[in-house]
Order: sequence, then structure tokens, then C-alpha cells
Amino acid sequence: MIKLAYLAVLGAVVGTLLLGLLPAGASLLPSLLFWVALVQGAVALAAAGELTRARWILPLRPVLLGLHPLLLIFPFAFLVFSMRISVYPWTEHPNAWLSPGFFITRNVLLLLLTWALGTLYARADGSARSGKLAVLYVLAFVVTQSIIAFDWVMSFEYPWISTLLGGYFFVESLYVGIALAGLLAAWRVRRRGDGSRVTLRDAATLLFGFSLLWAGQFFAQYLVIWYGNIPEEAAFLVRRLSASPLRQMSSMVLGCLFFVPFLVLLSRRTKSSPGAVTVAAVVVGAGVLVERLVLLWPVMPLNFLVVAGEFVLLAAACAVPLRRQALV
Amino acid sequence: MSRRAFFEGVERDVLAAMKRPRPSYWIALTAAALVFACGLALWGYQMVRGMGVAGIRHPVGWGVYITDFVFWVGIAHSGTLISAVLFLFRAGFRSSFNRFAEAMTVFAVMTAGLFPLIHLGRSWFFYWLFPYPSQRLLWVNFRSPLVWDVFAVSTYFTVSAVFFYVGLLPDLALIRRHTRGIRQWFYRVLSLGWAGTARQWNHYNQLYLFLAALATPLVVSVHSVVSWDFAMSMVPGWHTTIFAPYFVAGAIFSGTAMVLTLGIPMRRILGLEKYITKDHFESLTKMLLVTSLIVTYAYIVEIALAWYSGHKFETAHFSYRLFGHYRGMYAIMVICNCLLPLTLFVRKLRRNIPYLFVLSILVNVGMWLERFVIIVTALAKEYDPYSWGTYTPSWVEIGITAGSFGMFFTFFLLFTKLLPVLSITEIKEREE
Amino acid sequence: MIPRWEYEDPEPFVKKLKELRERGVPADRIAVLMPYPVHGFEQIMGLKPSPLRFFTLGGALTGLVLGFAFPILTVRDWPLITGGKPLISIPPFVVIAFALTILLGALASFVGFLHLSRLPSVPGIQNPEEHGNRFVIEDHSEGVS
Repeated sequence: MIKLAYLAVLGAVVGTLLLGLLPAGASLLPSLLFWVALVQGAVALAAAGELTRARWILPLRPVLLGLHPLLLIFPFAFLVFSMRISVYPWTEHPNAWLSPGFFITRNVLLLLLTWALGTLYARADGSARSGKLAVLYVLAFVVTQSIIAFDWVMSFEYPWISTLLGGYFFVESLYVGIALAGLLAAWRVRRRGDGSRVTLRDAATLLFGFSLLWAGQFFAQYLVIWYGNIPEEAAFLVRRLSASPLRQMSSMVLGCLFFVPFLVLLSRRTKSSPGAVTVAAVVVGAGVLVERLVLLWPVMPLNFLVVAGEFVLLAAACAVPLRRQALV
Repeated sequence: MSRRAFFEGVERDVLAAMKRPRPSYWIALTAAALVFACGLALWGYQMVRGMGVAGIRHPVGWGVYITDFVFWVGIAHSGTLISAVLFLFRAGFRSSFNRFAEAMTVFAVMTAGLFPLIHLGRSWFFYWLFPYPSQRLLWVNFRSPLVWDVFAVSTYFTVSAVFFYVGLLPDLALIRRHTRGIRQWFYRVLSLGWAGTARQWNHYNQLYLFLAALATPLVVSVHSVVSWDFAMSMVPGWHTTIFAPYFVAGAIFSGTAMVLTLGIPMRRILGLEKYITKDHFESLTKMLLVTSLIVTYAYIVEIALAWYSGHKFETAHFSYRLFGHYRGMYAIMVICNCLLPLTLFVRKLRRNIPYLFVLSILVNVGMWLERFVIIVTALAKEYDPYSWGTYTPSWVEIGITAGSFGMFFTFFLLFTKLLPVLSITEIKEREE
Repeated sequence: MIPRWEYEDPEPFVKKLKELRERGVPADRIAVLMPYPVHGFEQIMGLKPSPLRFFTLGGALTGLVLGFAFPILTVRDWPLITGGKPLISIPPFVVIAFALTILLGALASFVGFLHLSRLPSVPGIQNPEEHGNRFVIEDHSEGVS
């Protein structure tokens, strides 16, 4: 089963390479950002569930952990993307932190580290060492997602900074991981009947809670920038809110990541309904994807065929271990 | 041990704390009350003589009073986390702490709420902060973070007090059985005639769930609003987006430490080791460790991004914070908040009660210093070199700070004698 | 004579409760006293979910509306530009509305609870029925004809 997953990894990397060789190869980035968040977040959710001794997540943990081979896609996919690193404006005036060599090396190393720790953790699952490995994975996950936020996204806007962006990205990564857990829990209820409704209800409650947490993070960043109204800082928001279609896409992000999951999952009945949870989870996933586009489109040219192609490719790669596990 | 024996044991052990106090209790209460009274007297002195007796001047217009405000509001947050958030997560260890942690929350918010009034100077005009139709036809500025504070902290106090009282109801009812005379009337009235019928428990369960669900967003939002007092400005070192989650994590960090500082001696003095075990303490220390890591992350990100941006004013501010006039406080703060809690990765230390007690006090020292450093260093060195200066707290400010601790401990000591320090009903329920 | 059973432990209590319900005794004829809420008692007694949630929802919605209405109406009454912000600026008003939503939701829930549980109950204060740590069931269905 693991070997099949690694075959999927190989397939995904080869496919990414083919897409990356196209002239619009830099457009790999939005899809990479989405899938790295989902895969790393799913494994992080399993680790966090173990550290908090959460019982609701027990039936879902093997499936979530089963995604760990896919973590290996990202260092290679990032290497492919880095062929087009000149898309970043700072490559013309590199400094100590933002220089192509250091940039590529640190990101590849961090992505490899998360894969290594994720694999060690998944292999040690159930043994005495799993607690310690869970801690190490979560630490690596937080650092990696923060560096992804600051390096892959924030450096486009250099010298603009938002200290919250790192935290925002790893909360979003957990959020989309929980959305996946919700989808898996809904699927289980459909396959196994009412016995699994407890898992579904708890996953839905966590998804509901994270919609509030996400909204709090989003608002914290937005409010500070809006209120200060410092031109160099507010330009980040102005670029994404002043004109169509980015303006509508930004509203869609807020709707998908807060209003829809919050209102849909507010009542007790919908939390136990596989249909409602599936809808909420898919909407959350769509929201995260659109947000990655909103973050990148104003600052880099995007070829939507490449974006879609990479998205479908990585989705297919994820489906391999998920399908195997979920059928059990 | 039979159920009945256990139930009666819990009641006996916890209610034993409410019996006639020993001399050591009177000494502690008198000491705390004296310190509180001194603080109040100094506040009166400040009202008579004016704000000049405090150390705040140009350029540092916010000093120890605001530090104390943020500190006490922060301490309050952990109580709500333990009560509300851990309830929603169904964490069993919560019942060993939630009663006195909720009390801690209520008293800490009360203490915190005094500081904006003290800082006002002309405290008798405090009602101008509330929106009411006045003959001056002026309304409060709802766009100001200071007004958001009024709403957030008032909400927090009200909801925490209601939550505390609701959690107490079944316990107040059972105290009725154990008291006589006027004391019994006191608890009879306070318990509202609670009987424990099926219908009452049905409504009660719903109420508790909804209050927990409503209090949970408060844990995040109230300290976010307090952090926005600073982040909404344009001052380097204050105007940064991470402040909201960073302050919330810091609040839970210092609040959890205060739960340890209060709970460890209380457990020993009142003989409650059976109900608050080392395992329960270990769960709390894990919370302490996680929040310490988040605070460390925030420190690193702030400094790293200031350097990354090359922004002249940001880098100057952080150089000043790390190496300037207040570098000693900064160093102590980093040691207490970031380095010492790392020792909690060692399991033996997590279960070493005396070590946890000392560590919890050091954490709160570090967190108080952190608020002081953030506030004062940012104001001491802003954009314009002509207006740079320093700030030294005056003896009045230090005295009022000490008085706030006196107030907190006075209320807490009174609480231990008048109300059960552990939630007896929930401990009985936990056994099932 | 009203049949009355007292138990030291919750398990025989639950058994007797189930037995009474299976016999067909309606839930509103069974008086129950518990020192703490026994797990699952609502289902056994067939109690409907408490209508408390309507109080909560009502309070929360009122708070949400007031939280926006109040700042907007007052700023229109006395329009004063501060900090260059628009007069009706939604982000700050969100903070006020959030606080009021929670405050009024919590207060409404508490008031609703008091109303639904008929508390404070004067007979309960003057002459409380003490049952100690025992679980008590009383069957009031007989002799009501």
C-alpha cells in the first residue's frame, strides 16, 4: 500500500516536471500552496489528535496518516518550481535572506524534514515513541508552514511584512486538514451507517470551531492593516480589494471560509448530517484554493491551465492512499 | 470504596476548607488586605495630588498601570479556557481546577478593570467611557480601541461571573445540608432553591453548554481587543498583525501559571491531593509548555521580520528593545518565558510539584516584564529623535501594583472560606 | 402513598427509571432528584431538548443587531471624523457587535434558564427537599383519576 503511494508520488513529480517545463511553469505555485497545506495539515491533525489524546479522531487517524508518503512530492515539486524563481522580483536584488540559492535550499530541506518526520511518526504509530515524534512533526510543520508563508508568498510583496502571515498559513493548513477529516467522516457514515455519527459530529464541531478561529485570524490581520492605513502596508489590501475580479474573489474567500461553514454547521442536526458536512468541507477547500489565487494573482502572472493541471495532478496523487485506506 | 463513601468523602474534604479558619489564614488575609488598602490609599493620594506623582510623562504616556491592566486581563483568560474550552473538549482533568480557576478569572478581571480608572487620573469621570445620551450630545468614539476595550472587558466580566455562578449552583445547594442558622439561609438564598430535578438538570446542561460555547470565543477575542489597543497605532513595535494571537497565547500562558501558583499551595494546605493529582498538574503544564512555544515563536517572528524588511524604524525599535535601556528586563523576560519552560519537555520536571510552583512564579514575573517591555520601549523611542526619553515607575505606581496583588489575594482568600474551592458536583460526575 | 425509590448508585437508579418508562408511566408523572446529571437520563425519560436555545439565539441576534445599530445611529447623530476613518466603518463596529452578541446571548440564556427551571423557587429556599447524595425516583402516576 505504501509502495503504491510512492508510485503516486513519482507520477505526481514527473507530471509536475512536465508542467514546470512549460513557459508558464511558475503557475505551479498556487496548486502547490494548496496541496502542501492540505497534506501537511492532515498529518498534523493526526499528530495533534494524539498529543491531546482526542478519542474522536481515532477511526480517522490511519487514513490521515496514510497521506504521509505524499509529503515527498513537495520538495521535488518545489525544485521544479524553482526553475522559474525569477518570477520573484527580489531575484534582481538579492540580499542575505532572499537569495536564490539560500531560498531554494532552506525550503527544500524543510520540506524534506517534514516528510522524514511525518514518515517516522506514521511508522511509529502506536509505539512508545509516537508521542515524541508527534511533537517533532508538529514543530517542523509549524516552522515549514511559516517559512512557506514568508518565503513563497510574502516575498512577492517585499519589503511588505505581516508578522501574522506564518501563523495564518498554519492555521489554514490545519483548517483544510480538518475539512478533509470531515469528508472522511461523512464518507464513513455513508459506508458504515449510524455508528460512526459520533466521529462525524466531532469532526463537524471542530470544523465549525476552526471557521471561527480562521475568521479571527483573518480579521486580526485585516483590521490592523485597515486601521493603520499606512500606504506601503495597505497597498497589499488595496491591490486585492479595489477591482474585479479580485474583489469578488476576496469576498468569496470570506464567505467560503467563514460564513458558509459557520451558518451550515451551527445547528446540532447538520453537524450529524453527512451531506451538510460534505458541503461545508468542500466549500472550505474551495475557499483556501481561491485564497491562494487571491494572494498570488496580483503579483505574478498566472496561467490557469497550468494551475488547474497541477491541481488535478496532485488531487489524483492524494486520492491513491485515501482510496485504499477509506475502503478498509 | 463505595460510591456513597466517595461522595461523602468529596463533600467532607472540600467543605472542610470552609470551616473556622486557623490563625495562619487570618494572618494571610490581614496581610493581603493591608497591601490592598495601601494600594487604595495611594490611589486616593494620586487623585488628590494629580497624575504627576506617577512616573508617566512625555514620551512614555502609558506605563505600569497599563502593564498591570494587560497583565490582569491576561491572567483571567486561563480560567475561562479551563472552564469553557476544556469543557467543550471533554477533558476530564478540568474538574480539578475549574472552580478556583473561574474564581481567579472573576477576581482578575475585577482587578484589571480598576486600572483604566486609575490611569484616567480624574477617575470620577469614568462614566464618560460608556455610551449614554448626554446633554453635551457627545457619543463615545466607537472607532477607538479604547471603547472596544470597554465593551470587551465588561462583556468578559459579566459572562465570567454568570458562568461562575451557574457552575456554583448545584454545589451551593449541597452546602445547605452541611450548614446551620444564618449561614444556611445565606446558601439557601444563593442556591435559589435548586432541587436537582430532571427538568432542572435538563435546562442546566443546555445552559452550561451554551455558556461554554459563548465564553470560548471570548477567550480569543477579549485579549485580542486588548492587544489592539497597541496594534491600532502606528508606533513601530506595536503596529504588527501578530499581536492578537500572540497576546492571547501569552494570556493563557500567564493564566495557567497563576492557576499553578494558586493551586499548588491550596492543594497542600487544604489536603486535596486525592482530587488534584500529579497527572492533572501534568496536563496543565503541557498547556504551559505549548503556550510558551507560541510566545517564543512570536518573539522570533517579530524580530526576524523586522530585520527582513529592512524598515529603518522597525529595526531601530528592536535594537532598542534587545540592547537598549531596558535590555536587562528583556533578558529576564526571555529567560522566564522562553528558556525556562523548555525544561517542561522533561517528564520528571513536569511532575515535580515544587519545581512547578517556582517556575509558575517566574513565568508570571516574565510575563509582567514582557508587557512592560512592549509598552515602554515602543513609546520611549518612536520616530522622532527629539522626543526620545525613558520611563521609571514611581513609588506610587509600584505601590498601586502591589495593591492590585493584595486585592486579588484578598478576594481569593475570602473565596476559599465562603465557597467550595473544587467543583464537588463535577468531581462526583467525573467518577462515573 | 406515592411509590418512592432511593438509590446510592446511579446504575440501579437508571434501571428502575427504564423499568418505569417501559411500563408506560409518562415522564411528567415521574419526579426525579439527582445529585448530578446522570449520563443519558434525558433519553431515558424522553425529555425534549430544552427550549433554552431559543433564548440564546434571541439574545445573540439582538446583540448582533444592537452592536451595529448603536454605533451607526450614534455616529449619524453626531458625525465626528476621527483618525480619518469613514463615519460608518464596519471593521471597528464588528468588534462592538461581537462583544454585544456574546453578552446578550449569555444573559438571555441565563434568564431563560431561570424562567424554564422556575428558579428562584421560594418553597425551595424556605423548605428545601434534601435527598443527600441519593438518586430519588417518585412515581406520581397512581391515584390521579
